[in-house]
Amino acid sequence: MADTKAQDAIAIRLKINGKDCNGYKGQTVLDVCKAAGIHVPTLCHCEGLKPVGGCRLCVVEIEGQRRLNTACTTPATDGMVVQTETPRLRDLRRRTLELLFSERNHICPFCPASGDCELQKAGYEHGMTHVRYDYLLPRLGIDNSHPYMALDHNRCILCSRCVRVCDEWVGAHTLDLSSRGSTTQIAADNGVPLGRSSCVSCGMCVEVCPTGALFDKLTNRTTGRQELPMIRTICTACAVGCWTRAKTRGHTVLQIDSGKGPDDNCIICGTGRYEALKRANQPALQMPRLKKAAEWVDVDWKTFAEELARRITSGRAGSEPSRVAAMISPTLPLETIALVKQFFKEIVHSDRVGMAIGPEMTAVAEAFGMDGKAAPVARMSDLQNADLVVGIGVDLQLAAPVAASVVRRSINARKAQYIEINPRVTGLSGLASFRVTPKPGRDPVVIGATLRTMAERGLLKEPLPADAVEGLPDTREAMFEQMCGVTVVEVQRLAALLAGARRPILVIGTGLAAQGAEAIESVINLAVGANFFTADGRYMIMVVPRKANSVGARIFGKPTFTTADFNVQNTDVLLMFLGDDEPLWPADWVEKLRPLVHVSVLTAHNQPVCEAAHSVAPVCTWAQREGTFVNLEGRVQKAAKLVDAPASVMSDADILKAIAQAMGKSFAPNIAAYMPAGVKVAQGQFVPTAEPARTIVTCKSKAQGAKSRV
Amino acid sequence: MSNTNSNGKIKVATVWLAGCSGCHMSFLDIDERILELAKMVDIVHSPITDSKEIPPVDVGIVEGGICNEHDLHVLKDLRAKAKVLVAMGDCAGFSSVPMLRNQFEPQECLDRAYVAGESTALGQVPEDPELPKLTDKMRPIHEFVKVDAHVPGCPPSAEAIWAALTALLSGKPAEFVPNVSHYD
Repeated sequence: MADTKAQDAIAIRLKINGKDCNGYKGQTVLDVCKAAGIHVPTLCHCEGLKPVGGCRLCVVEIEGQRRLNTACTTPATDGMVVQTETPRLRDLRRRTLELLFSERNHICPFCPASGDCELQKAGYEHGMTHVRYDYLLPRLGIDNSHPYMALDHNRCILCSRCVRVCDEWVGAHTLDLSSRGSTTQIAADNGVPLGRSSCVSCGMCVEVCPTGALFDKLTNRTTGRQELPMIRTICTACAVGCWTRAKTRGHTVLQIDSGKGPDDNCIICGTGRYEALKRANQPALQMPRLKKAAEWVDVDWKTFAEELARRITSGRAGSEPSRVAAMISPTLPLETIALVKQFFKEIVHSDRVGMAIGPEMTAVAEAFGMDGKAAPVARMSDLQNADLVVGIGVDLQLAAPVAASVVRRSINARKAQYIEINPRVTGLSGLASFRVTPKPGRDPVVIGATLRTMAERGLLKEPLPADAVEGLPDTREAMFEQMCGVTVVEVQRLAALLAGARRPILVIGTGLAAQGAEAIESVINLAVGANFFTADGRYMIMVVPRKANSVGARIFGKPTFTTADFNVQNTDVLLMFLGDDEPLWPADWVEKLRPLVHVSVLTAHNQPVCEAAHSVAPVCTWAQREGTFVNLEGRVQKAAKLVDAPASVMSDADILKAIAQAMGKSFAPNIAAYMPAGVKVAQGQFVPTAEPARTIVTCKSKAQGAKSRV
Repeated sequence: MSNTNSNGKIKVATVWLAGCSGCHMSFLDIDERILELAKMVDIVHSPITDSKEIPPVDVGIVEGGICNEHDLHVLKDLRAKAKVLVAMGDCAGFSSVPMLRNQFEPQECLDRAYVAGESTALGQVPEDPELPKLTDKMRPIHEFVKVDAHVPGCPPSAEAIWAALTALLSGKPAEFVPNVSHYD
């Protein structure tokens, strides 16, 4: 198997086509051939998925064996003598291909996969000019029920790659094979249409489909024989920051596929594939515009810059300099944040640069002591290796679908169990072996009481000091069950499950974080008290923030203000750097921003908050800009520019330069000087983390003013 | 290929069976090379020569597969008269697009076209002894006669046709040419 580590394996030697080839025990014949650069045609084989030997294209001759063997499933053994290219094999492979072509509709001229089809390529490779068998061509259906993908059974060769990827990588196991023999078909769940199935819409099945059976509706895969390069980048749709590859032509992003990222993660989700693609190609703003007498007027950049310059300077003349403020979306790269900070410091002479991070990220930053550093939290690899995943106020399927896949995979492989503390039903609730549903806002009490139960029942590795235990919520308190909506028995079960796990991980999301820093502290307390740490001393806590750069935005330090504490009263002019923030900026901000003298929204797409604006200017979409992001692990990653912005759209630096110029000043961007020190690490490396607490903090200890050991 | 017209040129006949004429169009896409070709061959019969009888030829080129009795008649006639028979395009070699009707009974197809058509009023399936009957299924030509060379493509590119013709004219087999031959 490909995943066997080479270093601790026994070396073997094979003779393939007369050539000595080295391999190691555990590899298949195909693995050894690949490593030796010997091409063996395959169709059902897909790197990283369990081989099934279904298509019979990789048959090889092995000396001493009467029958032919499939290279993808045959273990390589020492001294094996293999032939991969004999006239007999070529003839058999060609016959196999002709049988495949004769079975269903493999009519290339009108298939969306033509030019990018492995069945077609195999036909070319074997010089197949016609099919000698009678065509079966059964009349099968087309499942067009899904919004993003379609399944044409007529084009399916039953290689089962989609079935395996859905099970082995995505962990959804929505797809499977139904029926027998030549009537076998791909089925979703128990034969329901894909659009009504348990499908998580990640599109991995489409990506691995060798033919046009599974195809995207949004994506234009018909790139024909034009070999378009795949650009490697990272996904900025959520804070996981998966590695992706994108195919582009002109200003259009044609296709987004997964790229093999850190920890061998090779999947992406539907948000990163389809939603991102939709946003990259949806009509974007082209020209700046100003609101004149309640009417929008398209203007050139000079007019826009002059208007903004006038507002910034006159706003200052009429009031204090600090009355100009900026609000930056954490979907934007660090470079943009640094630029705006520099512009405000040097040109506007103000430090009022706010971040559009929710109260939850503020709470996380406070609880973990992030000051220019990343939180000492768990990483995706820790999630992969966990044997107990506790989802607390998080819907992983929504907030970080690829992390949800990691959890599902572990559950399916019986490596881990999943338990949930959440009043709401989530995408993973169905897989939870235990769920508690605290009343809203009571999660910290339940978590604290769980730690106390663990302490009192002697379930902790190291006992807690008595006074620390005293400060924790107690299940024996009057009305505990009524107050929390959780029974004492449930808390005891929770305590037992946590104590029984060897590598538990606590995954917290916005549902918990929105309850404030204390809610997060309760989880930190649990980790500290129960000694849930990684080998290198980070908390076994994973925090799932809302946006791609939520962590990055907070590494700049505490912002002057956030969306939660933005004060309209002391602001005249607000510059909103929104990029293409999704979901769209809350519509209630339109009312909130009314009192301001001037609101300028810099956005890629028109959105409701533009209603409150006096000027709007187009900026690059996510696909048109490059930049640095810090993911939920604290990993620094660079997103590549996929397509050029139209000529009428200026870069962030050029916009700020134009405004400065209109103010009669000169702005020389120096991003490096304004980037937080912590992110100046090599790409893929981690931002230095804050020191984790080693003692628990309780309300009682806080009241006594003691932050450390109680 | 030894023999020939009195003027020393090789005689070629092309026929258009169940196909869309796209292969013949692509044939014309060989552009100025047609002059070079004209020095070597005489096209004695084709859909545009309007000759009713196929004379004996050196090379017979078939576009399209077999979907009715007339197609079969023409194919057998050409086979009998051609020394070398070439299947040009996907319809001749793979049945391709016209094969989609094989998922239905011929009568269903006729009714859909002549009776149930959206723009049809009081339609009826044409019936005349002059009209050829549909075969039960659309089939590639090599199911009926021996085919000496297949040139796949929908249509085959002018390059693929040229490569096949020049190979055949110089007495070599027409083979699948990587990066030139294709199915779409």
